[in-house]
Amino acid sequence: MADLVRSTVVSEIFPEGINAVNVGLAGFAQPPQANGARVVNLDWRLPADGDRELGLLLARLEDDSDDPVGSHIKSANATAVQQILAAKPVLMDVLPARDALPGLGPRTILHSGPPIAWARMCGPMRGAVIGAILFEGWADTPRRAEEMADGGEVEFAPCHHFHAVGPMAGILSPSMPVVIVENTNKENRAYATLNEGLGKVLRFGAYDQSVLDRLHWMSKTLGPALSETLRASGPIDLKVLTSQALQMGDECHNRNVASTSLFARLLAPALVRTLDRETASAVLDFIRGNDHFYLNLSMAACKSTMDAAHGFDGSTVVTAMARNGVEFGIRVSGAGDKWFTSPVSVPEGLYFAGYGPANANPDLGDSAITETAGIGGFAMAAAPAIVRFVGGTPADALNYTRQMYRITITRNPDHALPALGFAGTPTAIDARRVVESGILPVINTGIAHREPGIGQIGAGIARAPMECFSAAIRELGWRFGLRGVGHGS
Amino acid sequence: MSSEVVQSRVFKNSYRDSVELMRVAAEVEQIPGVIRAALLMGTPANKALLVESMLDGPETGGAGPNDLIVAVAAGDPDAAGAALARAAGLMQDQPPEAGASGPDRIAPRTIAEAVTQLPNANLAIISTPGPYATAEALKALKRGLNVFLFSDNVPIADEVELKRLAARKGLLVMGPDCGTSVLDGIPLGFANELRRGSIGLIGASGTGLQQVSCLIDRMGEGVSQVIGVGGRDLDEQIGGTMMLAAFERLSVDPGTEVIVLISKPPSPIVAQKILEAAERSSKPVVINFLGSTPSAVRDGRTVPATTLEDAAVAAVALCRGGCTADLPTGEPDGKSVEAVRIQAAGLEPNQRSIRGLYSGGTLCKEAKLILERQLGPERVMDHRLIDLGDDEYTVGRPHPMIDFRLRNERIVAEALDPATGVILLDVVLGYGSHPDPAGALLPALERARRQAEEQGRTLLVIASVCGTASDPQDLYRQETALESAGVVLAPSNAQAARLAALAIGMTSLSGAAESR
Amino acid sequence: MRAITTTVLGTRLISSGVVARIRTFGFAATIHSVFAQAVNLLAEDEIVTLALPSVGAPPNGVVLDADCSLLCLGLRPGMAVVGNRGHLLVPEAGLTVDFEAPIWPAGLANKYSLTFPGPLARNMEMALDLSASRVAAQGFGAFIPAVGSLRGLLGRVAGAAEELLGSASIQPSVAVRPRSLSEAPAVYGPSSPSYARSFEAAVSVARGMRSHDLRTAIVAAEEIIGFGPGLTPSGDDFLVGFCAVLAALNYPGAFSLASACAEKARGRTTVVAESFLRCAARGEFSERLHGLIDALLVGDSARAYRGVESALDWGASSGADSLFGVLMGFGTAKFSDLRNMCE
Repeated sequence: MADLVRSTVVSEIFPEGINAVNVGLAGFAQPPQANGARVVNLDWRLPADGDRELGLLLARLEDDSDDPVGSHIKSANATAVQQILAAKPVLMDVLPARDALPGLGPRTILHSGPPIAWARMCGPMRGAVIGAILFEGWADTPRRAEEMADGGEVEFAPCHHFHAVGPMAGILSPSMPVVIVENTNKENRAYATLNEGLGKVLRFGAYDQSVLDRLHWMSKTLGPALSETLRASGPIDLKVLTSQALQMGDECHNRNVASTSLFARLLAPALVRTLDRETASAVLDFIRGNDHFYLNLSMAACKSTMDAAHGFDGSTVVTAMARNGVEFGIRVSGAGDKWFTSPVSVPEGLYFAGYGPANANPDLGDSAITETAGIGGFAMAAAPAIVRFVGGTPADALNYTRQMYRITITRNPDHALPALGFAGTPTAIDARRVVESGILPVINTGIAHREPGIGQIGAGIARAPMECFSAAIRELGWRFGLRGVGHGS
Repeated sequence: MSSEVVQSRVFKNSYRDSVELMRVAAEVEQIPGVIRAALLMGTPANKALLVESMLDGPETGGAGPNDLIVAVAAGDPDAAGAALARAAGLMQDQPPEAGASGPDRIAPRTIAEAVTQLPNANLAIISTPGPYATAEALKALKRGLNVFLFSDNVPIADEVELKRLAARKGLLVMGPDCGTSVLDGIPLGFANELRRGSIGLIGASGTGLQQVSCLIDRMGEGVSQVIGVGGRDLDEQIGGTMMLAAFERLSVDPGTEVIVLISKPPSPIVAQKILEAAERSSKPVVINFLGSTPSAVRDGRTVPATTLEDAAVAAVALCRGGCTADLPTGEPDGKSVEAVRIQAAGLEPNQRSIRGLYSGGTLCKEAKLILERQLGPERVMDHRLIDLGDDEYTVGRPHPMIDFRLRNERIVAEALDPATGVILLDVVLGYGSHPDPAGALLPALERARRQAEEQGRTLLVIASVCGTASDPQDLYRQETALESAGVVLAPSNAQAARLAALAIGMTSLSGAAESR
Repeated sequence: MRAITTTVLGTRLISSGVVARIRTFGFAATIHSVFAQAVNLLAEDEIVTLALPSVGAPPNGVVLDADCSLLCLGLRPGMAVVGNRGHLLVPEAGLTVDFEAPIWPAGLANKYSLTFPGPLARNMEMALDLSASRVAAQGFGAFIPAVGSLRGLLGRVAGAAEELLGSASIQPSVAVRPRSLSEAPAVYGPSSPSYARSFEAAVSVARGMRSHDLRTAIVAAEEIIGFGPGLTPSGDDFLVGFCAVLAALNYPGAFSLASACAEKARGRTTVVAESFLRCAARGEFSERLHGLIDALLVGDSARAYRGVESALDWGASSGADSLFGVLMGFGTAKFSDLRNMCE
């Protein structure tokens, strides 16, 4: 008879218990769970829309401290993220673009989105170019302005190439006043035009006399007045201002009511002390009549933040998302200055009476820099009023933000969201996560009429196209010498 | 009038807040072209209500009281379809987390996301379609997770890469095509509820591991760990990477006293490596390479085992200090031999063929080997043993351990063949398997017998049940059910095969053929 | 057993009806359904409810010590729930519910005597006015505005159904399939013949109980089990409310009716409604019904008003349906043949 009274040692491979991630059939979770393991079920989808090769490439680009590629990406991303969190955008001054933007040519016109030739520009952008040429006085009729653009007498470049950003058509010409925002952490600067307000405005492609008159007033009066005021008041910390506005119902892209008011409150005392009564009153009236005045400041602040995160070799952090009305383009920190583009579609949204999707121009503008920096659509939880544009509920607003946590690396504690228990905004889009999860960045946007000069006809929510992110991942893979299939590094 | 259409859809076991249902109904009725919409639980009273309102359809009749019926009447099929889609969308849209809480607690979509919700994650259980499994396994390994890889159809080059990476990181890749593992008493995949003890099993065969571990359990001993490594681990390309890694773990595991290694015949180079490792180990090692026991095994300190049952017996004996008292000898017991003799006597002279219908690949292979030994290689051609779990049979349908339809069809078909004398079966219990395999088999066995009888024949059914008393299906309940239906039961697959050979009457039980 | 949990919820009350079941070692269930204010577990074939304090104690469950939406706990239908003597565990969601709490007596039986205190008549008047002013879109509540005669109904149960069904908006009919959709009645609400029939059956239940004709009552009750929208169909809500009053007053036959309903409910209604009927058969009812009945029976007018008002807000139609049952229950008992004996 065997000696049955033997003592057995029960030892464990996992002394901390089994903590498992179940990828695939949900039924596999139950037996281990019933026996005391902790199991998280993945809501798994085919990564990269079922492109096996791209899915594998994503896996090879995954963080991994033991792997040369994985550790490189991990540390590059950590540096980029640190730059975003530490950025401190401050409004320094308002100056004509020719004095503010280093290297801007005398006959250069900047536009929104990735590079595009005059011939391919959409209606609103062409209208705005004509308006800018007339405003600069390079031509005296729209017809002549068009000839100049046609004949190559004007140079075109994306705003982004000059550290600038512009909403909608984003047209910026040398005489226009721009805000100068400095990220005092890295001492890099970013620029944006001043917001013209709603209605017939250049950024929607309008160029009639009223538009030109306003532009002239802005360059002759508003710009210098703000410059003078800022010198008296000192620089304004835009990060603090944005944080406050996020607590007050703005997401600082499509809703800027609180931020504009805060800005006016900050500026007003210095403004009335510095300027004559008439100018001060005109400037304050202008700000009062424009709920989006802060948008361009917000954009420049975001641009200065994201530029600081750009150029870290290997980093998968998205540093720019922009549309030119024809293409959507993104830039990724570790993939150089290359744009990854894809055709852009018409946003889903609510139209003003009398208009519909048939009238809409495909999505347009550099304003998606706000989402890139983790506010705008990413901070929808702060601004439930916005979701009405797509017939949503306040719960939808929370969910948009919740969803964005899944494709971002960190949360920005300086931008707290009260509705989510003061969690920070989802910050630093990881191109890998976008492709892997199929969750596309959400962008709050205005909708422009496809004909120049008619202006805004609605507002809504757009999604960045997947192709841009897939292309960026392929580029990164190529840079690391990785292929999807076969052996890795 | 005549273009009016009614369409309906049934959501099984769907429980929605009634306020929400009302909201959805109201919203759907707003859709242009929709005449009427109803969302009701499918109670008999409500179904009558739908008939009266002309909202019933072919689907609604089958709805039960706990199913939600969505029915729509509309002016044209497009509007009706759109309305149903909208209703379905409205109900699915409802985010489960509607409250104003923090950002967490959404079902994660990626491993990266999951590990943020599960601190100390140490294992990924992967069962995605094969072509996509490699990427998931890579991501898991890179995050320091061990991998249980159930998916099959993973390219061998991918397996090489995964296992190299795992070896470098000191992690385990159990798979691909790994049927079972039991780690620290936690069952993964198709696993049995086993007593814990001091025998550690490593295997490149899922059902092989299940058979050995269940037999150990039946003999009163327990397992420390059961580690599946995937069917190709001992191929030359993979080089036994994971079996060696797992072996190293068990060699130093204080809870493991005896180690059992199981695989189909490995490449000679890999076999050599494994043997060397086993020789170096301070613990006794039992090796079963299914029919090909290298001579080196016989010479060394390791214990060779011909059948899975032998492996289990050897391990238990080692564990009990070499004592083999009360352990099975591998020979069928008198009672089952008697049962076979009685039933076999009724077989017609031309009923000389054994038809094995297996759900476990290794069990099928083991039975083939035994029949070959017992009956001689030249007679094996008379018999037909098939593994219904083979890819050729499983395309587009569940594994035969879960879905008995294919096997039941084959049982009935084999019974119609006048040459069929014995039907040989395996029944695998445990997590993941059919909840009541005996219950699923009995009607088919009954039909098979009846058909044979109608043609003036009888039929002998021999089976073994691989499972334990603690399995959800309960070994003894299953055995009793089969036995009461006239099935001759053997405690192991090897013995079942020997009984089949006996029945065919070509060999004695003495094992003479085996020693030949 | 090893389990790491992240959320631990306490319990405020535990219903007497389930103490024995859920405090047993080896309690096993699955999550049946998850709502903002309640989570239903399916244990064997009966529902156990975990409710927020705002819902009050269910007859078949516990009141959690929590005020967050239960949708935020990561619970999903089908998840396994295991229980031990002192707690309950949902491993997949990392949730533990601690069962250390006072026991709440769910039994309502024989809580009041069959004498009718002063406030009842006045409170019932108020309840009728209030519920008639809320036009319910579906369920039996939809009838209340249509019948000023409900007053009469309560007074003269026998004749009231005819009166009621004779009113313009309600067409009694035999179950005929209409010729076309445009002729077909609306699914929910008063113009549906099914509704009219069910309403008539509800009245018959009361009529049967009033005249101590249990068989008639049971046959009629059988007709309305599982009828109407929602997770607890209108017919069942009505029956539970009706049985609650009869049980509270210890009305003869109250238990026989409830037991028969529970028996007939199998396969004819949702498992949630079935569970409530089974509780009713044991004389156990929700804290809400306890409160409503108490408010109507002995509450001052302010308390009764609050009670009825909040009852009308339960679910989409459940509140009005239950209230209708409660009012019919009082009507039945008050005008029954026993009245003379008791008053």
